Amino acid sequence: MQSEEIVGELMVSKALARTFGFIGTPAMVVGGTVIQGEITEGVLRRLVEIEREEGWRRIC
Amino acid sequence: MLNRSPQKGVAAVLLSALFLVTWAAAVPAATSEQATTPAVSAQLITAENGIAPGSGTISAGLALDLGEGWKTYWRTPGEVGFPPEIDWAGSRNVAEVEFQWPAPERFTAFGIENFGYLDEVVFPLRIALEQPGQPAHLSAAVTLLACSDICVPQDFTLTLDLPRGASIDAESAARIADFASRVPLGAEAGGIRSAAAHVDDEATALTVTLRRSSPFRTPDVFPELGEYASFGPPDIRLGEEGRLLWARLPILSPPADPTATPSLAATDTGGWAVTVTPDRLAAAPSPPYTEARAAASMSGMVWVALTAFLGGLILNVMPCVLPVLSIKLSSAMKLDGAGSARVRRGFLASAAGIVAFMWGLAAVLFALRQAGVTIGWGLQFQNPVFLALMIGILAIFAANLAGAFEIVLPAGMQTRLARVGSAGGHVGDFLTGAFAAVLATPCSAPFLGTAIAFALAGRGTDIALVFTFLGLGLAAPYLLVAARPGLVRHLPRPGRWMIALRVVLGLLLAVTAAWLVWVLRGVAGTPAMLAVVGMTAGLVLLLSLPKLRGPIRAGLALPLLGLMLFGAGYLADASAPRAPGAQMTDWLPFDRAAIARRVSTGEVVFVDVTADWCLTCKANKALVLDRDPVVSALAAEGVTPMQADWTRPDPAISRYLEGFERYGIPFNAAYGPAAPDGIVLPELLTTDAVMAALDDAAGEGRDIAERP
Repeated sequence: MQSEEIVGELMVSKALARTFGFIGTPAMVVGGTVIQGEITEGVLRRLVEIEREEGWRRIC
Repeated sequence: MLNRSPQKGVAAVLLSALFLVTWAAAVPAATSEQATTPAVSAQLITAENGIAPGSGTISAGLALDLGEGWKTYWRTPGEVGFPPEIDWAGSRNVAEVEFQWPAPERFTAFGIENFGYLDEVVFPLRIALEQPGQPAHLSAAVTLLACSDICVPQDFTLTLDLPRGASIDAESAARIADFASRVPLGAEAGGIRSAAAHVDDEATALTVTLRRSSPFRTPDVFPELGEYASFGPPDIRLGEEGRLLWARLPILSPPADPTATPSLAATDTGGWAVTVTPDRLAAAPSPPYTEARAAASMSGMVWVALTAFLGGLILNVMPCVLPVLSIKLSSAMKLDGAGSARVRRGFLASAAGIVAFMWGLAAVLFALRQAGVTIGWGLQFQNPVFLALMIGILAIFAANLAGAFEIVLPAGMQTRLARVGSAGGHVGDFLTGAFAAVLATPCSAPFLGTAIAFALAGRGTDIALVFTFLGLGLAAPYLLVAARPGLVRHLPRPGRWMIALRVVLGLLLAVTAAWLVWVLRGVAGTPAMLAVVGMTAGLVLLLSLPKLRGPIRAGLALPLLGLMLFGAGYLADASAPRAPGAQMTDWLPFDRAAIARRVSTGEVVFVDVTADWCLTCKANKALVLDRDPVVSALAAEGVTPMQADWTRPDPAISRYLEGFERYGIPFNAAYGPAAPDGIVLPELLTTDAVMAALDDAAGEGRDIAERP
């Protein structure tokens, strides 16, 4: 936290975490789904497929 | 229930009085309210319920009850994580707080080493008061990281008021005392007699030793070396009847300050733990000779002997031995037409030569290991003097086969040899055998690796047994001919074709010599190579001059050979840049630490340990690694090919191999999210095996071969 740049970065991270309700790391957002914690690649791939099929853009 | 008996009434009053007393005593109980999250429930506890008159310190603790599967970190957390911290701002009458760290546990996940605590931990706190005997208010703003399959930072403030008082909270006191007893002791209290540490100049490894008055049982070590330094898993060995602990840890990230003083925490069975400041050594202490492994059982030894024999036998058909085939053929040819007894004796002499070389090798390896040198199979090919000698001998053999000259032993030596007995006539056969064995040693083979690993990690007798059977296996074809000399008769009759064959065989040997020249260039640099080539040419020329008399010839040739060997050693320049040849694959240089880092980001890492002198490695490269589909798989996104070049001695590579109980190459392994510890491939690669290993390492649902 020695430079403005880093402080700015941390503020952005904090704001994002609050927006999505992240409680820790790792955390991901895929389409309309928030994932917290460790997941396998297979689950992530399936999730991406589902989100694509459901056309999440319309939700936002 | 209105007319209850007086006794019952008295009892009820007494009970409530008792309850009131206990309740009254519990009011100043030495615990803060609990901060509870799904990961951890935390509480500030103190042994004293209040500040006794004149008392200047209090014994407190930060008690953490971690949820199932959650952990938090030690003061040096390892490669990831951060340690708990407390900010005491807002406290009253608190001068200083000493935070104590109970000995941690080691956690390994995805090849990443972490140190910390599971289930429950109490960090003992020694709190010094500003005004002894006065009430205090503790306010602890705690920041810590709790991780299970998600890492959640925890921030909470715990407060505790301590009025004047002198009573003790027995339960809290016991909890604090329990964990205080797990805080590592100092060197003397822990029975440590000496502690030493060494960091190599390139900061690649930390080696530590500890001597304790009683034997170690299941020790672990947790070194610290200034800020940002992190270490890989330790290789721990015991010596001196268990009283000496030796450990080497790869340095994954070097300390910010290279002069930082190392600190070493060590733990052992029964809750023993110490923290010591080791003396810095100028040179790395050598590992103790491990007697830890119990002597193998009789049947175990039979298996190992059989494995060694098979390994030796298979070595006969490995690409490594191709150059030797011509020597074998020429020796068989020489004996063609001779009597059965002569053939038998000749082949027995060759077999003896092989076994004798193996014994010599075993003796040298044993001596080197006793001297603390890292040893391995085929390492003599890293030595420029050995290479120069081989080049000289091969060139002379080749010239001799091509008909440039006949090797004639001086008359005096011939008579002396004849006097020694009939075996004297077979010196040539004996040397041929020994030479074949020498050329067979640069590569490892199936079964061979297992046997060598057993020998090199074992006792002197294990080495002798394994190398004897290895020699017998390698000599098996010779022994077969010796048992059935009639087999030689299946060779075609001598004739003009033999002269042509001699030239062909001579050329084969010359090619082998040329290969070794190329190896020498890789090992020792171009100047040393040119010197050896020049002097070898001179040597062959000298021997081919028809007019020189025997003694003069020897008088000139021997010093020249000596000069050549000396020159090879003298001119060898280990720092000369290695010119990388044209590569199909864009290999990254070997970096053990980077493997875990890349795997943790989901990549697949394929490690290839190779050397110029390893012909089997070259065969693997040509037949599998440089061909599709492997070459495309290695170039795919998310796959990192990593190559370790062992042409020159490199202790980092030797240690890496040793970690897999391998002492020779070829060595290949695939790492990935599904195989953080690596999938080791057999010495002789096949396309299917490599592709399967890459897919298995990548884990579920990922097919390396079909990725773009």
